[in-house]
Amino acid sequence: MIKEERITVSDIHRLVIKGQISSAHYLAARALLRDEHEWRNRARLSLLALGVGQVVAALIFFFAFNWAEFPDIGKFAVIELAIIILSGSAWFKGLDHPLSQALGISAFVALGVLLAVIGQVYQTGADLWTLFAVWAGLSLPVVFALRNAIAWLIWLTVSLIAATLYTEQVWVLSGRIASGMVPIILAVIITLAFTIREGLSKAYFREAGPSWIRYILLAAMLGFWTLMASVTMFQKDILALGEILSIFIPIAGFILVCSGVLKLTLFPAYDMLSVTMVFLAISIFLSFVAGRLLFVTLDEEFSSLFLIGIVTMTIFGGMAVILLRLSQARRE
Amino acid sequence: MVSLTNRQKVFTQLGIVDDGIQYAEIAWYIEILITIGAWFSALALTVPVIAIFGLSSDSAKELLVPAVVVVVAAFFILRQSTIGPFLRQFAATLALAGEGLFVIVMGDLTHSLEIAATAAVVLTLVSLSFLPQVSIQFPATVATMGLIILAIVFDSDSVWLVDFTLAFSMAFGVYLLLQPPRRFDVRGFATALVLIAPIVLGFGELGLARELGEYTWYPGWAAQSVLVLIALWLVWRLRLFIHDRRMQLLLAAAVILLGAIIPAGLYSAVVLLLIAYSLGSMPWAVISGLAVCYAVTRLYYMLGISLLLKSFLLAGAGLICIGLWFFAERAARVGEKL
Repeated sequence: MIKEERITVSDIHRLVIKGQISSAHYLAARALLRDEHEWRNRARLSLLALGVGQVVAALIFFFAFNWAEFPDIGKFAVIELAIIILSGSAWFKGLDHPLSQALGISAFVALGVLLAVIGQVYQTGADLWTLFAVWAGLSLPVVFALRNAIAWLIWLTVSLIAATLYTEQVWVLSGRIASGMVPIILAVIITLAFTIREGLSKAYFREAGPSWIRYILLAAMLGFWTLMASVTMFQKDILALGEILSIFIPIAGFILVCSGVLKLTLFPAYDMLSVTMVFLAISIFLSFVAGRLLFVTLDEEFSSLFLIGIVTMTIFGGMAVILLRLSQARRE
Repeated sequence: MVSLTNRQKVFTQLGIVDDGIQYAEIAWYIEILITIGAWFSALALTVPVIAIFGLSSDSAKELLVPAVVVVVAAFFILRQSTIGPFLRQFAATLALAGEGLFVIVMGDLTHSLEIAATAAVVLTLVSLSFLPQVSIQFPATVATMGLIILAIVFDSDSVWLVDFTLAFSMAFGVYLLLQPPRRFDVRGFATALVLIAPIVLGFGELGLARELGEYTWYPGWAAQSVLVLIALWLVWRLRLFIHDRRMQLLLAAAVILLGAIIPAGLYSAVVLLLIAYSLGSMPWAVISGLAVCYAVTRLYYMLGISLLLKSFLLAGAGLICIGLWFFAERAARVGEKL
């Protein structure tokens, strides 16, 4: 099979710089590469979104203006009515329809607003974590019914906020765990969510959602593990579990996560974006390790920064070379 | 019209001979890794140079030596023909750091923000020819614009001048994006000029909205009219894609009406949407969406006018957009039937 040579926007730009296409014809040349029908649909959709978004914002501003004077019963009525209309319309249209799923997600968000208003009106004095925990608990059936990855992502965010607040307001304050353990707990929860999402994706379940859900979870997971593994280089006994365990747990978690993701994304087909994210995490971690070791070894002299710079350059440069070769191999 | 991606077909359509050179495009995420690495390395190598020369004296003029050293080192690396993308990015970052040091020295020697801003403008314009990387042009332009804004705010009381500067720089940026010049790749420069407007104008004054609130004429309104002219130019350029003249006139009318109703921050976000459609670019579309959300949030916290008036302005703008959408949908359905 003869491989078709493709042309990109960057090629068009290069031709303008070389003078083969005049500046005035740049847009017309770019237009050849775009699917005009698709872009017209997108333009109309964004026009509608802009219009509806501004009207919704106007309504919120209007209620915010009158909120203090609004009777409590009115506050509840407005939000509850919104929940009923949103979930009723979603149910009526059929939960498989994209519009119904958007309405269902809006109902889920409105439920959180209702709980916040209950807390505001009755001044229950409860800890903030209860709001998010109850919100996550009550909305679980809705999220199951929607079978939508975005709904699950929002639910996960609410649950993570609940978990963070609970661990900080209950466990850390009562001295059961050190505050350094909170990011580790969050990292474990996100790692579990990532693993479940990948399992669902392999089984072709709709809940797995598009590939960008993978990237969001991966970025969050790598972010937490890299942060914790790097911080242990600079702070002693951060988890209050003894010096060895405080270093071992974050670094073991980091290595496990990186190797697991690499195994998942390098075989059978490369997912270069995921591979790059892992390489970036490894480069940052290794640079911190090298920086810490060199700074201590060279008696914390300013000149050690030179060496750190060169080592960092070598690490990132090396990773870039490997990635470029992998990327080339994938194309071929 | 369906898109063409076949190289030969596109070259034939454009009526030019294929030079056979293919743009060696590096995926954006690998570019990010390279950029982060280059910034880290350049920072670690520049800080000790600054520390050795700069910390020994109270005056920043001592930084002139490291500025020259860093720039010379950067140019030495850039002149090598065999360097890979990482080293090229690293050298460009070093050059940027050197230019930054030079601007600090100028500001310190003259004790003038205007001179520092002028030096930054000159260096940014000069470096456009040899530092084509978006990751270099973008921060250099943002920093230069920041200095210009600071110079205006601190050295004169005319805050409306900031609006004017932003509106005109946005106009220049939009022109460069839609009609890029020959010989120079200025995409990073143009992108920064365009994007800085909605961010800063979101903090600024409110154009007509403020007039409605205070019943006084305000010069920010004149700056907003520059934004309306940019939007009208974009609508005129969209004749490539919108063949229905009535639809184009309706869009032009909507753009003028929106310019009269919504504040400059939100209006410049709408200009970004027009850019996204003109270029057919998804990243620009995503940025426009974020800019609209940001502008509406900024508007909520504006203390100049009441929430009630803001809600009326937003509702009016929303209804104009929905009305335009209605006509666009109808025109599309008629087009499909034909």
